[in-house]
Order: sequence, then C-alpha cells, then structure tokens
Amino acid sequence: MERVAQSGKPAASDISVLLRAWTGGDQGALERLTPIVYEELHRLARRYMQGERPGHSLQTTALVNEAYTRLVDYKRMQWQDRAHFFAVSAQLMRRILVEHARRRNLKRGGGVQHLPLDAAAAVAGGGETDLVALDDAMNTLARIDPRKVKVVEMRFFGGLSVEETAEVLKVLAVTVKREWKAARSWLYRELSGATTDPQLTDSQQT
Amino acid sequence: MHPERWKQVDEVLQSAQDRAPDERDAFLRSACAGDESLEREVRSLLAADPEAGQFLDRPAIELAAQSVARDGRGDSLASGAKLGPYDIVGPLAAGGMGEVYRARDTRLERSVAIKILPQAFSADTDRLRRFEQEARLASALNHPNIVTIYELGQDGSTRYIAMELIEGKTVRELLLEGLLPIRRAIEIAAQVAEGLAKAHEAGIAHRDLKPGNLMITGDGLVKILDFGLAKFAPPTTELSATRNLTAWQTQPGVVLGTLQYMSPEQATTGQPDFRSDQFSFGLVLYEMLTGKHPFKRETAVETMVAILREQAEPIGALNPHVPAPLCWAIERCLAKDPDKRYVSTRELAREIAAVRDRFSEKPVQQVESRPANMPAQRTPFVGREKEVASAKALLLREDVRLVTVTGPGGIGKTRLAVEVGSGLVEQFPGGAHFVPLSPVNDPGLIASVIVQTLGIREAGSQSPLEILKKNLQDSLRAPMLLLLDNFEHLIQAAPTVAELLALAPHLKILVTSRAALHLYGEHEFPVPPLALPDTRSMPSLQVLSHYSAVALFVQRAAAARPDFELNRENARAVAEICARLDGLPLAIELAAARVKVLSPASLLTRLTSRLQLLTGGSRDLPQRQQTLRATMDWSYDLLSAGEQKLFRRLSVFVGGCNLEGAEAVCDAPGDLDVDLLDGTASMVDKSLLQQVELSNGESRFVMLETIREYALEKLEASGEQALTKRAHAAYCLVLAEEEATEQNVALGPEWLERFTYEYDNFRAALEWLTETGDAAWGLRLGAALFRFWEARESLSEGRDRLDKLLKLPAAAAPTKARVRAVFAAGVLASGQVDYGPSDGLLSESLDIARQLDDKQGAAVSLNALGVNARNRSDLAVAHALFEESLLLFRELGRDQKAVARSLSNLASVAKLQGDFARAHSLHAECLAIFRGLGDRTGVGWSLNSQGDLAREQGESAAAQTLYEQALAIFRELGDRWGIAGTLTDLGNLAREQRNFPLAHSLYRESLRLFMTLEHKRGIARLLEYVACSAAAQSDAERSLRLAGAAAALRQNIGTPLTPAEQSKLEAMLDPARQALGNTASATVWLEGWVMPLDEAIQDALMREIASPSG
Repeated sequence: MERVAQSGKPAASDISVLLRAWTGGDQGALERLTPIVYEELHRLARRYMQGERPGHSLQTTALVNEAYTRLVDYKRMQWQDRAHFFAVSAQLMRRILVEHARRRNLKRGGGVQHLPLDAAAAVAGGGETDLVALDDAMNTLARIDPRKVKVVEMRFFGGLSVEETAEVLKVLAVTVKREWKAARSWLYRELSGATTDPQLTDSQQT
Repeated sequence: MHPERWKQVDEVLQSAQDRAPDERDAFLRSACAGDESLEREVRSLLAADPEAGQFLDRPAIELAAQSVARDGRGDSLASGAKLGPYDIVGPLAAGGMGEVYRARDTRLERSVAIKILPQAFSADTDRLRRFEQEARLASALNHPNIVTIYELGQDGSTRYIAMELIEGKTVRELLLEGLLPIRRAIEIAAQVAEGLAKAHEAGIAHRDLKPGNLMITGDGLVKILDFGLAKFAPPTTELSATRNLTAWQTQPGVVLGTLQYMSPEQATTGQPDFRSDQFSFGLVLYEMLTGKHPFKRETAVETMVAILREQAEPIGALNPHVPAPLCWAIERCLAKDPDKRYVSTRELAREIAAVRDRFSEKPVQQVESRPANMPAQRTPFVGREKEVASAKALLLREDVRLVTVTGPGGIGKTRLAVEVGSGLVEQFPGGAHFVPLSPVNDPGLIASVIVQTLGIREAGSQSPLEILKKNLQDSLRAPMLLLLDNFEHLIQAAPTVAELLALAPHLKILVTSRAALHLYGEHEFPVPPLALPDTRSMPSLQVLSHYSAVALFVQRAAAARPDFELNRENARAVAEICARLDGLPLAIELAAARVKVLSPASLLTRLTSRLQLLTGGSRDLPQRQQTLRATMDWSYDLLSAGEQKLFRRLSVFVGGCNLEGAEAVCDAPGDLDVDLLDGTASMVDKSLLQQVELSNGESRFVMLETIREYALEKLEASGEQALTKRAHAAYCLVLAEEEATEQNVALGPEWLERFTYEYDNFRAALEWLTETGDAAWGLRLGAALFRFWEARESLSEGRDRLDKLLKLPAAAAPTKARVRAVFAAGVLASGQVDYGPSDGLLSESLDIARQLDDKQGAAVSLNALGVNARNRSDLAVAHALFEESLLLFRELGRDQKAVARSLSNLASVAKLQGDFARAHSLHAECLAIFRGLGDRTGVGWSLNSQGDLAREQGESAAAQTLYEQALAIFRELGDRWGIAGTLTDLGNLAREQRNFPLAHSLYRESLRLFMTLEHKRGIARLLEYVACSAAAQSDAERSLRLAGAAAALRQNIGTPLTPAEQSKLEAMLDPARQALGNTASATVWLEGWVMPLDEAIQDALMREIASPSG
C-alpha cells in the first residue's frame, strides 16, 4: 500500500495540522481541507474509470482504505486524544462529502432544491445512496437518538472500524454493533419513504 | 417521536435484532405486552432490516467516488466534438433522458439540441426499438407547442436524438422566480393545452408532464418537451419512488413519471391514458397560479397518499384573483377518477382558450364610473380651429400613439389639448382622462396620480405603477386617451410614458409640455401664437374680429366690461395690442382684463412703453417669453402694494385655496394692507386669479401655472418665502388635524371631498416640512393625513411619505408624534395586507408608547396588532391583543367609545372561535356603553353585529328583530352606510329563509345606496348575493353571469374575497354550476366577466324571475 504522499499533495501531517486547527474553531481550515478531500475523491474516481469496476472487489477495498489513510492517518497520529481526533475527522468527512453531494445534485437538477422525496428510489433500487438525503435523515434521528448518529458518522463517513468507533464512544464493541444495526434499519426505513406509525406519534401527543 | 418513546422502541428493536428471526415473533408479543403501536413500529423497523442489504455497507467516500466516476462518463462530449453530422457547441442541461448539448447541424447549418441517450439504453435493443418508434410518432406531431424531433442518430455506440433547439426558460425555472402573473399563467396553460390536445388526438400521451418539461421561448411560445419519451427514462435520483416502485422499475412499459406530477392511476394501476396528462396538467397549472403544489408532502409515501386520496385546497383560497372558470377546469383535471375528467383534451383546451380570450377583454369602462373627465372650461374656446383639427387628426392616425403639445408658458397648450381631448371623447370609448401634473413634484408619483385619476383602487402591496400597468394590460380593448398636462418639470418620468405605451396597444397619450419628451415615436405639436391681423393694412372690423387674437381680446374685455365691443375707434388699438403681445393668449387675457379701467388706446400706450423698456433687458429669453414676462410685470406693477403682497403670497398654494385659506396664510403676520375679498376680486378681474365654483357652492381661487411661477419668483425676491411657506404648512396642519376627526371620517364623502380639494396643498406642505427637516410638524401632518390616505386607498403614497418623515434625524426621538406616525404607517401597511412590516411598525409604536407611558398610543397599537392577527386567523393571539388593548382603554377611562369598540372586536374573535355565549355578553356590554354615551351610530352597528351573531346561530327571528332595530336607527340618523349594510343583512336573512322576492327588494334598495355612495366593494358584494339568490332559484345562467361580473369588479378594485368567503360563495353557486355543467358555466361566467358594470348592475336590479311580488 502506497503511503507516501505524492508530490504536490499535502502530506498527512499537514492534514493533521489543519484538522487540529479546525477543531480549534478555525473555519478557514475547513475550506483548505475540502479541496484535499475532493482531490482524493477524484483520484479514486479516476481509478474506477480506468477499468476497475466499482463493486466489492478486494482491489476497491484497498483503494478506499488507502484513501482514508491518506486523508487521516489515524494509526500514525501522535495525538494525545486519539478518540477525539476520530470523532472530528468523521464529522469533517460527513460535512465535506454531503456538501459535495449537494453540489452535484444542484448541478444535475439544474438548481433544484433537494427534496427528501428524491432519495428513496436510489436507496430502494440498491444504487447510489443519496448522501444529502441521508444527512437529512441523520439530523432527524439525532433529535431522538444522538448516539446512533455518532455511530453512523464514524462507521460510514469516517470509515472507522467497529473497534475504533467503540474506542471513541467509550462503549463496548458489541454495543456499537447493535446500535449500528438499529440505526441502519431506522435510516433505511426513513429514506425509503415509509413513515412512523402515526398512532405511535398520536399516543405521544395526548 | 418523543425520545422517551423512542428509547422504548429502540430497546425492544435491539433485543429483537439480537434474536434469530424465527424467535422474534414470540419475543415481540411478550415484550410489547399489548402496546400495539409499539409492536407495529418495531415490526416496521425489523422489516426494513433485511431489505437494507448493502445499505451503508461501503464507506461514504467510496460511494461519492463512484458517483463522480459515473458523472465523468456523462460529460465526455467536449465542445468541438463531432457526433454524426453535428458539431457539439456546448452542454445545455442534463435530464432524466441523458445529457443535452447545443450543436450545429453541418448539413443544414442550423442550431439543434442533441440529447445523448444513456449507455444502458443502447444495450437493450428491445427497449431501444420501442423508444425509437415512440419518438417517431411524437416527431410526426408537428405542432408549434410541441418540440420537434429531427432525427434519431447513432455515432459508434452513442445514440442520440437531434431536436429543435429551444432557448428560454422552463416553467420550473419561472416558478422558482416567484408567482407568475395570472395572465402569463393562463397564456402558458392555453398553449400547453393546445399542444396536449393535438397529441392526444394523434393518440400519444405525454406521461411525464411537469414544469421541467415545459419550455417558454423568448417570444412567449410554449414548447412541451420529451413527448411520449417518459416511459423509457431510466431511473435516476430525480425520479422518485417508494419501496413499491422498486418493482415498477423492472416492469417494462410501466411509467416512472416524476412522482409529484403523477396521476392517481399512474401511481396505482400503471395504466395511464391521455387523461393522466390532464391530471398532471392540472397540477402544473395549480402550481403556476398558487405557487404551491397541492400534494407535495414530506415523504414520497405521503405524497402518493395525498395524490390518491386528498382533495386539493381550493385555488381561490390561495390566490383569489384566479377567475372561477379556470379554477373549475383545474378542479376537473384533478378529479381522482379519470372518467370525471375531460372526455377530450380538445374540450379542455377550448375552455382554457375561452378564459384567456375573455380575461384580457375586460374593458376599462368597467373600472371607470366617469369615462371622460376633461375639465369644463369657464370661457368659450376662441380661435385655433385649424390647430385643433390638425391635432385631432394627428392623434387619430393609426401610427401615432404619443403627441406632445409644446410651446412656451402662456401660449395656451393646456387649453388646446383639452379642446382636442374633449372633441375626441367619442373616439376613445375606453375613456379620455385629464391628468393634471403641475401639483406633482416627484417624477415617481406620476403613476400614482394616473391611478387616482382613473379611479383604480390600490391593491395589496403592489406599487401604483404595477397596478397601472396591470390595469392597462388587463383591460385594454377599447381605445383610451390620457392627457398628461404640464409635463415639463417631470421630464425624468418620460420613460414611464414609453413603458405604458409599449404595454397597452390601445392607449394613446396626449402631453402638454414646454419641451418635448424625446421619446421614440413621439409627435411634437408646437402651438403657434394666435392668428394676428396685419396692422399696416387695417382690415375691416368684420374681418378683424375673425382673427383669433382679436376675438380673444374682445371676448375677455367684454367679460371685464360687458358694454365693450370692437368699433372703429378702438379697432386699431386692439389689433396693435394683440400684435405687441405676439398673439400670446395669456398676455392678451391679462391686457384685456384691464379694459375695465383703461381704454384700449391708453392700454396700448402703457403696454408699449413697458415692452420697449424690456426689450433692452434679458436677451437670452426668447421673444415671446419676454413679451409674456413684460406683460405680467406690467400687470403686477398695476396692483397696489397690498394686492402685490397678496398676489405673491398666494403662490404658495398648490391647486388653489378658498378664502379662509387665503386669509390664514397670506395674512398670517397681520400685515396685509388690503381687504382680502377686495384683493382677490381685483385679481380675478385682472385675470391673475381664476375663481372656480365648487359643487358644494364654495369658491376657490386658482392661479394658472404660468402665473403662479411668476408669483413665486416675486415671493422669493421679497424675502417672505420661508415665512409664508411656514404659514401655509401651519394652515394645512390645523386644517388636516381638525378635519380628520372621527366624526368627519364617519360621515364619509363630504369630508373626503374637502380633503381632496386641499390635497395638493397638503402634499406641498408635507414636502416643504420634509425638505426643511421639520419633524415635529411633519409627523403631525403625516399622522393627520393618515385617515385620508386610508379612505382614499392611497396606501403606497401614504407609506412612502410617512417613511420619509420618519427617517428625518429630528424624528428619531421617541415622542407621541412619532408614535402616531409610526402607527399610521403600520395601519397603512396592514391595509396592503403587508402584515410583516405592519407588525414591525405597530410593535415600534407600541414600544415607544409604553416608554412614554402613552396609554392611548399603546392601546390603539395593540388593537391594530390584534386586527392583523385576526385577519391572519391567528385567533388566540388576536384575542390576547384585543384584551390587552381593552384593559388599557378601560384604565384610561376617558374614551368609552374605544372601550365599546374593543369589546366589539373581542366579540368578533369570540364569534370566529365559535364561542357564541361570550360573543353575546361582549356585544351586550358594548351596546350598553354606546347607549350610555348616546352614540346612536354605535348603537346601530352594535345591534347589527348582534344580528349577525344571531343569524350565525340560526336564530332568524332574533336576527330579524335586531337588524330591524339597527335599520330604524340608521334611517333616523340618515346614515346611508348603515342603512345599506343592514339592508344587505336583512336581504341575506330573507334569502336564507327562501323568501326571494323580499330578499331581492332589500338587495335592490341596498345596491342603489351603495351606488350613490360609490362604494364598489358594497356593489360587488350585492352582485354576489343576487347571484346566490338566483342560484337558489335555479336561475343558473343569471347567477353565474352576475358572479362573473362581481369577480371582475373585485379584480378591478383589488379587494378579493377572503378564502372563507370565497368557499362559501362557491358552495352557494354550486347548484348553478351543477345545472349548467362545466363548459356552459364557464361561458356564462365569462360573459359576466366582460359585461360592463352598469349592465351587470341593471341585471341585478331589474331582472328577477317572475314570482309573486312580496
């Protein structure tokens, strides 16, 4: 696995600095980080287009791992609060990737505002997940169960393993697994457009 | 869901997920222990679990990269690329059917649009074949409203469609920009319906009609895109679906339209025919007219359920300006059952076309109670027959739209133009309107003045210019003439004139101005001096008296001295005077007025010396202007010192004054050494002042604009200007504050009339106070004028002027004056239904009033805020605000009437809330107060409101008694508003009891009263009630015709019905609609819509189906 940053690209350590600046409240750091993530995204995309079919080949997994490693080299991180760093980078990936998806939707839809309605087909069809709709759904879920959202953020956006996630949240790995499963069911149902049992909602109101 | 409840759900869910699938059932039953909704929720989540499959299995960055990769393939065509015979110029858009490019057809040298079909498409040969077949069918349609497909092509593995290139905007883009004007929406709808009808006749349905598929070209042509192609579109994220749709995608031939615009049958059976397009068309039209999609919900499932089951909110409730037949057509399109829609789309297209044609046909007379208002002239018009005839001919030429009568001051432009206008009234059935602009200083106000002249009511928060444009646009079929008098100082507003002309093809404008407007297409008509005799060869008396200049002199001289006549002795002198005065009418008039004391011979000597004196003077002025000035100087010098003082001071009046005003302003310092009556009479004699008799018998003194300017110069030179203008402002302030009392406002027209005469003075005073930064007086005057603005519906102008005053640095301090002015601005905004800013202003006035411990100010602000809340149907808030206001009024204790009114307001909220008992007791208290005060009007209205309440509760007998009591009081007081209103209520009561003859006779009396009061809202209401009555008597045609006429009137005066009233009316008219059927209903309604108001009123008054008299 290639771990050395290519020339002209920021080294992992630069990214760590930027990440730290971002957690310190420097909004400019986010702006500088975004193109780095985009570049990685496009590099991945180019590899796919060169004939590596997207799917579940080992090759792809390796590519993705590599991408994450390039972006956030957790293992080498000499940070005193590794857990905190994981949390931050997952949050960051969520923001950047959702923003990216939002822009793409904009481009494709000719300036049409995103509607949660549009996400469902993709989910149900097993095709691409609309990250914007997912983000909306996660925001809804956060209102009743913020921990599940953290788990999804780290696993899905941050690319963290179950163990790493458990470390960040300071819970057992088995809890992460259960939470992950329940969260996935909830989000899937939300995105496929089904609703909460209205009676359940009603009973809460009375 | 509440987090607590979710915790429960989550716990059970996770435990279930830990278990093997076959154990879950039993577990759930025991874990949920009969909590059905809990069990249902967990089960639905569990059901989602296996389906989730690979959901979120791959990290986000991989998904993102894959999308980028997919997109990357899409825009592979760079500009310059070649595709068959086409050169790609650049990308246009991306849609459900693939990427679209602008390209050049190298064979035919034309621009085309190229749509690249997705790769997946080309692989499926069967699908491709069917697609090509459908595309060919669609391309054969050949209709201006359908995009033409040129060919289906292939280059290597890439397949594409070449089609007509359309440049413009989609309806979707238009919708994002905001609500479409109704006319525009109707025009678009009519064209779409045409295109659809044509396609449906050819057996082709669109199946994916939506705003994004409708394109509007630059010249307004509508094109329907992607005809018949929808069913071949591959699923993309733009196409929406539920889980159920997963199955659909795999089934061939099943339409996957954009969910929001699907018909119910598309969403269920998947067997849509052309009537499915009617449904989608109805949805698009609904959205264009209301800015709202009727069935769009948070989620796809909810949206589908809404499409299948819910009824769309009535269009009238969202946009009351949509003509009823259009609402009906949309309603029919949106029928859930396809059999209830149109049997043929041609029929639909015909109905929409009828609405379009009729809607724009509304003639202006309908707005106008006085189609021509050319000012009557106090003296006969002398001479210039030739000029008048040629100006008329010029104006009537088909290619001439704008004629500007030019010439120096005093040459007689206005007089000539009025003569021309008055002579052409017949040729302009749309009206010939005289718009005096000399009192207007601000070029921005010109539209406002025209709107007022035309009698159009300001509506909503639209600017007067928008309203004017809308009216001219909507209403013009009949030719109309505007005479804009004295334009020279508003030259900056010339573009407005051009804009109006461009907008309304049947409008012509006649302008008088010292200089031309320099607009494209303007025809200048310079006014020559009056015809003069050659004094070297004196013609005979007979011939001499035919020269216009001489004839004018003789006429004016005879007015000054009845025994004056042209004779051999004075003929030469008269001819000489006219010649010396260059044939300038104003100068000749001023000179002739002196015949009273001077013979023409001595007049000539004096004038000549004066004119000679001046010819050595300012050379830069043109000869005629010098002559006029000299004549005015001469005339001025002949006045006594006291008269001179009076003359120059009178110049501060704009639009004239009465004696009282002249005295208050001109003798403010008490130094006027001349008796006012004598002074003004003398000046009238000398033609420096004109005396006008008003309809109420009062005399007003007005200066011709040219003379006023001269007098103003003299005033400036005398150093008295500031003092006099201040006196003028003081006079206006006192007058406005005294006149704008509640009693006067309640009395109505007389007060309004008085205010209208003085309005130009008020404007001038306000402007002067604003200019000099006098906030104290300015705010007071603004607050005093508020009732006038409100009553005259000059809402924008009032807000504008108050806004300027409130921004004065000296106005910033929190004073009572500021409270009143801010309050006034808030109420005016509320009148424009501009509640946001209104609430802001009223909250400010409330705050300051509280700071100042100004309870009165706080109480009225609270009340006004309450009215806003009530009008927004925010009843709880309204209730609280009225309560608080009432409390303050009670505390104040001095204004019992205000207490009574607050009680009445509270009662109205209680009634709306359905709390009749409380409404009753509030009304009773209110009535007791009015009785105690001896306020008969208050008692009358209170009884009337109680009658309404009783009627609402179905207690007809009680209502009858209460109304009759109220009516008796109003009759006793001679209160016509009260009488008309109560008669209407009694009529409604009779109608509800099916006593139609009685109802009609009550309506007639009330309608006649509203006509004398010129209360258009009242007239509209009566037309509606008679329409309801007719509907109940199965006179369907008359019912709908009157409803159409009422709607047209409402449209013109800008007071639509509230949503609640609208739906009530619709329900009442329903039997008529049922009886006639949709198409005939629309026809009859539109007949009423274009009916002149007078005819509609006659219809309502006269014709009642034969029934025993009652």
